[in-house]
Amino acid sequence: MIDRKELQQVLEVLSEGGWQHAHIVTPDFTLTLVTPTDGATQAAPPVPLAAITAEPVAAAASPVPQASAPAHLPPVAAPAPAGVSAAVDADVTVVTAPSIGVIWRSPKPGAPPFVEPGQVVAPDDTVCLLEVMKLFTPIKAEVAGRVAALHVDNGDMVQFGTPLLSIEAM
Amino acid sequence: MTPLSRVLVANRGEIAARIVRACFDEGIESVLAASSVDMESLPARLADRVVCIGPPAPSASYLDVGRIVTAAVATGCDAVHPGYGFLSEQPELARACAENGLVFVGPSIDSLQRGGDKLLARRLARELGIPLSAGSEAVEGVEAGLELAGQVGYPLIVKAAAGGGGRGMRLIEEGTDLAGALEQATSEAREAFGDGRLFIERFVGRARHIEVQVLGDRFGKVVHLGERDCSIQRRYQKLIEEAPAPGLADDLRARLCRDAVRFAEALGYVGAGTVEFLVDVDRDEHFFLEMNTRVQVEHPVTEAVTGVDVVRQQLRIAAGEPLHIDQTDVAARGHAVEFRLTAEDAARDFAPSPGLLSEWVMPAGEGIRVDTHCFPGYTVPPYYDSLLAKLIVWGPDRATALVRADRALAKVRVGGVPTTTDFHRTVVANDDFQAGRVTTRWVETTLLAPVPTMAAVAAPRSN
Repeated sequence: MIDRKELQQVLEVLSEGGWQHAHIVTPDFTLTLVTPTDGATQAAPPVPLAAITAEPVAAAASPVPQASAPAHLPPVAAPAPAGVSAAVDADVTVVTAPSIGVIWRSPKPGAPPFVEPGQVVAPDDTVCLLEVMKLFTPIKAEVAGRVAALHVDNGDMVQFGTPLLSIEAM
Repeated sequence: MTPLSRVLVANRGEIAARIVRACFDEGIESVLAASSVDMESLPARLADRVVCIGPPAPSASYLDVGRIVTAAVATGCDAVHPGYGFLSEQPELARACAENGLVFVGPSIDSLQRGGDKLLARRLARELGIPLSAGSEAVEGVEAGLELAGQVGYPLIVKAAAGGGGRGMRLIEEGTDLAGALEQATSEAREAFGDGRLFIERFVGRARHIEVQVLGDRFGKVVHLGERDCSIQRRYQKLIEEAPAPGLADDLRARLCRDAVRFAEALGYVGAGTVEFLVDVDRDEHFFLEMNTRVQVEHPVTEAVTGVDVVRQQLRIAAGEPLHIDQTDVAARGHAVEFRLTAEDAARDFAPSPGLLSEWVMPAGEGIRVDTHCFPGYTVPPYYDSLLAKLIVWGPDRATALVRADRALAKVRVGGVPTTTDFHRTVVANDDFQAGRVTTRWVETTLLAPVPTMAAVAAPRSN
């Protein structure tokens, strides 16, 4: 388990470097950190080590803070909307999008989704597809656990770094 | 003509900020496609909207056609402006835009290929009777060699196509028995390198890099906006550019500009482009080098002396507007010089040095323009080029512009990374530069430590 001092050091190094996302995996724990997009230069405040789970990102989250999306377009899920606090929990992994693109939850239209909340997954399991201009890339769980929450809907446009789903260790 | 309503800016740094501003001036919404490390950058804050397309690595962000086009389609853009560098001259991006109903703010796919490809462009220049520079195609045999030599003109450099590092090169002056020399060169090349093919090139001892800005619309009209002199270079990277070219004879200027327009017209060129030439200082001759089928870094000096906003023109042309500029409207007023301020340490061989800008103060005032994406507290990332800012100085004449430039450079204060500011001040203070006497090898051979010159390499072989 990570101790408070080490955690503080990690937070300082990451926030000085202007990082927005960090996912640290060790044999003892998994640490996921997400910086709110407003004020990336602020140091993330230290968080108590009592188990904190990340607030599930509301499906179809609001667009990036700069401007509102035009009414006729589906909103593009932001990389880390305000309201997602730093998830300092050894047990929860947030899978994020590796690129801008469209998320598909099933291998093909009409087929059952790859995963549903509550489902147990292995690291090499595909959890969804990311489409970039007709090129479909499978997104893997990369950890073993249970799907705690889904953060995007089928057909949502996502950006690089957008949280897709949370997987909790069992 | 369909006015553009929203443009995806597929670039970063100072040019992204420049395009966003032009969109604003044109009443067009801007969406910036940014890598994760650029999401808090200045252009990201200036744009109406920013979307994160990938991690810092260019291959997974700014160089990824799929991500760029997806970003444009996802945000309801009707056009993509590629800036310079990255995908700006890649037919793949232009093609993907066409396939997805997006206007590419740039020339046609055909122009990108025929104008952007060095060999194809040279072929077109040759067809148009525009003189060509060094860098011929390899020739085999004396007859082909004689024909090419006739086109290229004296003095010639003959080198083995398979040779390298200056080996197998000879300088041939007018009056030499050319056929004999070529025969000898061919057999020597075959013996030494197993390949008798030769490159035959025009030897230009003292050259200036002079380029012409052109604008073309969708109706076939092409105008030029005059020339720029970019002779201050180091390892083929431009450092300082100016407009107009100092001391350039009027008739040579007219020939350069006319050939640039002819070349662009032959391509059916649409948008902003630049035709580059090498000018032989001693012989008052010009040679086609290549065409840059995009907006260039140094476009501001042309804007300063002509009053034409090149990027706004790009947007209008892309929307299908006819060019409202006639050639007779174009005149150069005064003189402008641009200094590229980069995060490089001139004392350590221009080693690039990214980092946090603890201090950032740029000059301002009459005739001063600074194009930049930097601000105090900004962290210059290590993933991209080292350009921090362009300082553009205008004056009613070159002497005034240079006095103003020296004052402006003295006011630059950057902390946290080294910059080339002092290097620029050294150049401005230099007699050769003041007199407009510089050539493309001047920085490396005169200003910095001298390196072996062409003369040593090109001495004719004695038998």
